[in-house]
Amino acid sequence: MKKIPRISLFLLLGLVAMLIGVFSLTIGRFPVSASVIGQLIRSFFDPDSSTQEQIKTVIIDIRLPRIIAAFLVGGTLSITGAAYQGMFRNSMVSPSILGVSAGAGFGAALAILLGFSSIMLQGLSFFFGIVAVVTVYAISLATGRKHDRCLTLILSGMIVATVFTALLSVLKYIADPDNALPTIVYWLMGGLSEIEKTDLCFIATISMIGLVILSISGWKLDLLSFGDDEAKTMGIRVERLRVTVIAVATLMTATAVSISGIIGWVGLIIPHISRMLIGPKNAELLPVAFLIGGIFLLIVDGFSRTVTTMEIPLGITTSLIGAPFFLFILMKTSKKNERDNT
Amino acid sequence: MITLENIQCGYGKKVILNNLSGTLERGQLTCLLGRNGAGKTTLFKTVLGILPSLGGTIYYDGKTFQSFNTKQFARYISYVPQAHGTPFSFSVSDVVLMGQYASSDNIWGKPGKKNIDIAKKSIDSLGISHLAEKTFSKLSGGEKQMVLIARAMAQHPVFIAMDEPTSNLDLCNQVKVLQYAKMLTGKGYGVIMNTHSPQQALQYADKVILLDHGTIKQWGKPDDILNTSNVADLYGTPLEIIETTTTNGDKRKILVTT
Repeated sequence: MKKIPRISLFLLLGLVAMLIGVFSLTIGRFPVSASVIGQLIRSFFDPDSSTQEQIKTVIIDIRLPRIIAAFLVGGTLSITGAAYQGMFRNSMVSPSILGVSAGAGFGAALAILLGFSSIMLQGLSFFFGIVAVVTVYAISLATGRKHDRCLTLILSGMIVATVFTALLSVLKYIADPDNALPTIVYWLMGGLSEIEKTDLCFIATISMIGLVILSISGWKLDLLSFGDDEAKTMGIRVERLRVTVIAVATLMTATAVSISGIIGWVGLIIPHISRMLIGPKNAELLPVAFLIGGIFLLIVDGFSRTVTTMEIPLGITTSLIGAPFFLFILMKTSKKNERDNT
Repeated sequence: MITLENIQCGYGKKVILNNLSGTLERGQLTCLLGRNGAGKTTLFKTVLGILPSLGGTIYYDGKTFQSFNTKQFARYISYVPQAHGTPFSFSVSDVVLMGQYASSDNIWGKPGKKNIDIAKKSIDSLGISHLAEKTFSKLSGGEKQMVLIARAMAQHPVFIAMDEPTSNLDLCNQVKVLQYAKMLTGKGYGVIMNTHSPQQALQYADKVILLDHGTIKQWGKPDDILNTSNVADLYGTPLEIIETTTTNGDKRKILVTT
């Protein structure tokens, strides 16, 4: 696929994100026309223009936070997936490779079981997401001296994720089957229906700072794709770069998971799509992945909350849409490889 | 120059090479020879700073490794590994430009116009401009090796360390790579080359290091060191190094197994 000039791509993606965002404001159980949206915007600048309070509540307090959160969560999962794929030199890596989702899922389940508030749920989910990755890093340091660092990180991630998944199963086993258990299961499926305006500050701050740090680390990640030894000889402080990427990606992913539950596939497929559009250079790939991931989750979230009368959990929709779409990409790229090789 | 003073090389606490001393000079091609497991790669990685030395000191133009920061060291010595791929579709230009990371004025390593021009000159000087926009991982082994040499040159080092650069290459590409390595010494670079082929050392090296049983057996000019007795002893294989005359009238030494 021919690479699109990067400035045009950034502008186009920004425009698409805004248009889809505005469209998303109009859809839902309470349909709102585009003209009413326009009137609402005008009312902020023109005191003579007004909108019904009910519409204002639906748009400003319910839909807008959810739309912004969908964009930020999708963007966060995509950029962290792309960063990890660059760091681990493997395009099949996802943001949950170091156990952050398993840890966050356990933390959320624990909070639900103990009857904590939603703020505490997010806090505990975030905390255990961080604990999982710190544990992974510590294990890899202790065992990795004689082995490939990337391999020990991945294996440690598998171990820690397995432990947290088992602990989560214990919580589900002892949870009240009428109350806590369905809440835990529903949370784990992922969704943005409980988003409030106060949640946005946290994720917006973390994701914007993370976007900047990861994007400017992009040039160094390119060198790392040739392996630790070569990267060192080209002037990269490999372990410092690795710690930076893991720390930032973990904070971003733990934040996203703590407010949205576990949403799979986004962090795996969006980097592939982004690479097809902009190429492999991480300084460009990472911000593009953020934009495309945000747009993707905006679309999927809109679909999830409108396709049926009952909202479909986001984790289900991303998997149902993401997996066939990934198959389509694989088939398309394998046909292209066949053409290139003949 | 790079001066080794009684250095010990190894992994962790395990010492593989002991009491290594000698000098690597600019403008010379030095070949490292030895059997599998003799420690060639270990010495290589120690000189490159990838492995810490377990004892002794290495001086790089009079300075120790700790005197350099990572970027300064990258501008002193660069590395040409055996040709391999990368999982991502970087172009040849992208790959060679990576060699300019250590010279970038940007704090985040973003290459500027100056860096891009230097990388382009490096590509042009090796006659591989026609490969510039091609995907690196789809090139042949020989082409990849040229690109990696161009990347190493783009680092503007004093020394270039080449790790078995002719492995997995056909004869035509082997000759090309070795001729380029020799050409680099003509431009003032010091080249250190790890090789399994005494014949390559006979034909191209200015200096040879023979590694055996954890230490340097011999270090000197190929004409002085690479004789039947030393090489047969080094590899534990019956062979002869004989002098012959080419059709051009040049006298050459060749290695034949017996």
